[in-house]
Amino acid sequence: MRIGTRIVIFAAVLLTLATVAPRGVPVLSAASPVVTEGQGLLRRLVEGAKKEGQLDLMVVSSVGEKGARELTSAFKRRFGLDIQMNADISGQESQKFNQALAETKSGIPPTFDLMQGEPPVVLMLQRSGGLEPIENWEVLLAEIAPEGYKVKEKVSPKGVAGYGFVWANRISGLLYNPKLIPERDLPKTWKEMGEPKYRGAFSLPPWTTITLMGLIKYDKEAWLEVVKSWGKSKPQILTYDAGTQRMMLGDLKFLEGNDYYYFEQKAKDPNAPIGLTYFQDLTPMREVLYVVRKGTRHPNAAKLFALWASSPEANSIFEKYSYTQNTALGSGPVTQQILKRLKALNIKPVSWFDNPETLEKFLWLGTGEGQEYSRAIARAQREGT
Amino acid sequence: MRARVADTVGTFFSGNMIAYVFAWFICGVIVAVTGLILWMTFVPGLPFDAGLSLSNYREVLGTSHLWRVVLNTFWVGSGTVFVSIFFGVPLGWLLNRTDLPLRSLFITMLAVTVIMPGLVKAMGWIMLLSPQVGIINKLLMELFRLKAAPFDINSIWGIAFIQGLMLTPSMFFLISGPMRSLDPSLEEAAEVVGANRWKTLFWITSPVLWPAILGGVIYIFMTGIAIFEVAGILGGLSENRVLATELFLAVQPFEGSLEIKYGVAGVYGFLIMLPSLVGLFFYFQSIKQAHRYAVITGKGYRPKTFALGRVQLPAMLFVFLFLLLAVFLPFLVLLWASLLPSLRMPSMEALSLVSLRWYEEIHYLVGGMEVIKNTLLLVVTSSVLVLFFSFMVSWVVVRTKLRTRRLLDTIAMLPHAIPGIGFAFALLIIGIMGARWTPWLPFYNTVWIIVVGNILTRMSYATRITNAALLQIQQELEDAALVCGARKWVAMLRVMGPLIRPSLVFAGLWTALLVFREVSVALLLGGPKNKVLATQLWILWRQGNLSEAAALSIVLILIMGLLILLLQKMTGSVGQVRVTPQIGEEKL
Repeated sequence: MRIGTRIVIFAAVLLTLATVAPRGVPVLSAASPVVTEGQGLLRRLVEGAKKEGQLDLMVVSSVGEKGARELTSAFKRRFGLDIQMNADISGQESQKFNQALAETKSGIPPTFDLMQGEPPVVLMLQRSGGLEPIENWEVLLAEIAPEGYKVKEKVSPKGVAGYGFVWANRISGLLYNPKLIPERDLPKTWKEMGEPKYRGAFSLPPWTTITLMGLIKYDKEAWLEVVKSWGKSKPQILTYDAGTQRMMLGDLKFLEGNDYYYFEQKAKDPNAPIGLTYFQDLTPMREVLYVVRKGTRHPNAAKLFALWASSPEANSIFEKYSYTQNTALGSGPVTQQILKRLKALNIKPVSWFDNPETLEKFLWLGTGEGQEYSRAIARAQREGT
Repeated sequence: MRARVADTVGTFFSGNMIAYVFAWFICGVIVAVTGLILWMTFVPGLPFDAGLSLSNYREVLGTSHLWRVVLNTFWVGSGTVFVSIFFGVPLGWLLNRTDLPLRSLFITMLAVTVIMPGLVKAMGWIMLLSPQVGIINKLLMELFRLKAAPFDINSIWGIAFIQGLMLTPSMFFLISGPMRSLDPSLEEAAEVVGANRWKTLFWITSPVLWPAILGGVIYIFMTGIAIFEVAGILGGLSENRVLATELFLAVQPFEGSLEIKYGVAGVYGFLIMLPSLVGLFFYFQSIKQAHRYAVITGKGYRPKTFALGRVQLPAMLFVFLFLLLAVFLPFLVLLWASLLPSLRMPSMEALSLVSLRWYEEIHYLVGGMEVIKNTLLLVVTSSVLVLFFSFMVSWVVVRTKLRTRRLLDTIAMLPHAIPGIGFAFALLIIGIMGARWTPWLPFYNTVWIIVVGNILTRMSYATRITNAALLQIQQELEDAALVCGARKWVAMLRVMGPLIRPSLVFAGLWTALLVFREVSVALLLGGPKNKVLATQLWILWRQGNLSEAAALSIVLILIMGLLILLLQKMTGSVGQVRVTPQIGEEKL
């Protein structure tokens, strides 16, 4: 074979390898002549994880056992780890964070190395000193999840920067039974939901985490009156899953719920009697974050997973099984569908982490006055008083 | 010296001391855990936090709707008891003392219903009796040209009806042991003096069973007012509020506060406990005259099967009515749901979606071998220990004259009055303390903490059965063994044990089933390394995968059904007339 031909074949092989290699996944090579700061830090983290040999972590319950196995296998494969991973998919985020708080106060090693939850519980644990920050997280993120690094302020937003790492978002939508009510007849705004014509037609959840996000747009008193109007309509108070089931049975016309229920049901049955739209005045979005526990026995493995969870590779598995979106990355098929719908409706979801003003409102809810207001909202939602 | 030690040991084993020590050990643990729950009601935050206050009591007692909640709870509890007595007591007699065919199969069906989650039963009844979509309502409206649906399952009575059906098997199993151990000579005597079967049943059989029935009533009432899952889906979180749903809200950080209000939950727990204590008072009054209920004597005892004769058909219809309402309909809903991608009302369109998709993924739904191993360990260990400690407590309560015996019985009942979540949280705190002071002890985040939680919460049920069973055995049998030179513990295990074996089998079986399906304790005390099957099932329900959960339930029901049938064959104690050796008889 001539030298020219050999060069062409060699170039073709290189090109093929470059095409099929997973994007954004830096290959760690012990023989690399120049090791960047990020590579050095990552290598130390991987070596540390190998020595630890184990990781006890929470994984969102909606991925199920199958999804959790695929997720942990992909993680181990990505970093060449052969460690024991105990993934807990029982959910109960708030209870587990309260348990973590008790563990922190008593000074015992944590049950979980890595936990996941929404901002309220994450901030609660952070304030009590139960979380460990990831040093040099930006450098490491650039190395582990370059796509995440491009939106690093969304991956680890202000308020929890360095402590919490967003792996998903939960967007509130209107889930409805199209056989009972057409989309055009649904309430367009949260205020319209309190109109007498919707009496007995919908359900609300027993929690107020979404309702309280009305403060992002509305004045406190005005918002309280809106919530009271729902309570006066005597809605069924049901958890999202129970509400969705009853709505699909035809017992309710619609409910406010996480939009991923729609994708989950449609994936099981494309003809399932469920539709999805959004309120036009306010569409709340909550971040779901991974946090590393302080005093954990396996900190390196935990940090590695927390950062990797923000990568497109992890996102693809989360989306495949739990239909949760990551709007920061915006790359997964579910996320893209949601972004397309939101764009068509000209809706921009709002979050507590949007800007300093919204963050300040969120932190106010933790004060005595804020908690009093929260109780008033809860009463208004359930009783209309 | 050696002789003195031997004497002391001998005295210990020859008296009631062995039962006394074990009974007080378990009751001491119950008191300690209950004390911690009580303590928590006075602490604003976690038990580690400093300062005591009445804020939790103020929060509960100061709410404007408290009395409505209490009244609703009372009606739900009473309705539940009514339904479970209406079905449970006749079923107990028919399936234990008569010649009704297929008794073993019927009993197995009753037993496996406990695995069916209340949520699916509630969903099933929504499909039948919802004013909007209920099939029965629609049929009746069409038939009688009604303008409005005649039934509304979203009501206090709807909740009571479903819970009553759910708890009928509990009532059945509570009275089955004593029912089987009834001395037929009393019934025969009544017949000799001219009483017909029904008079005998009402005036002879029922009064003798009174302690067991009363124990059952208290148990069912306490369980009925503490169940969340049915009320939670039928308006319990809105217009049909009950104490159980208020407690649920307290342990979920829903209302602005991020920290779970365990103190408030504890207060609700104590509110739930109050009516139970009143019930216990009447229970103790009824067993004061224990000898009145002793029907197994040394003077000849052979249980007799009652020939139903002409009433066999109505009896069969009655059994079928219950099975239809409590077993077949929920099972059909479960089966229907398990074959669909998601729950739908029956229609031709839905029929076209039927597949075995979820059954093909059952190995993922179970959660792996570790989960099965943990579940087996939990169920077997908890059941054996519950039986052992219950027998010890009942022995002291029924067979001794010790002053503290009634106190022991009250303590054994306490865990049932306090919802499992309260006990679970107290154990969690104990576990955390244990991990701090005795880190070498494998307790926190292991299966053993769940085992302890289940032992404590199941003691109340098992002691009702063992109490009722021991009450029926006359003192002379034990005395005879002692006269023959047997030590007390030998008499206990070799004479009394076999005599109450049917009750012990029922208690063990039912405890195992309840432990198997128990979620709240396992969920709160569970971690990454002590997962069990009940929580796997619960996770599926909770995340809205009703169909997957239904498939897993069906598989578990079939496995448990087969195991129960096997157990019946092995022990020969269920569904057959019990034959017990009698004093003075060489062979039977």
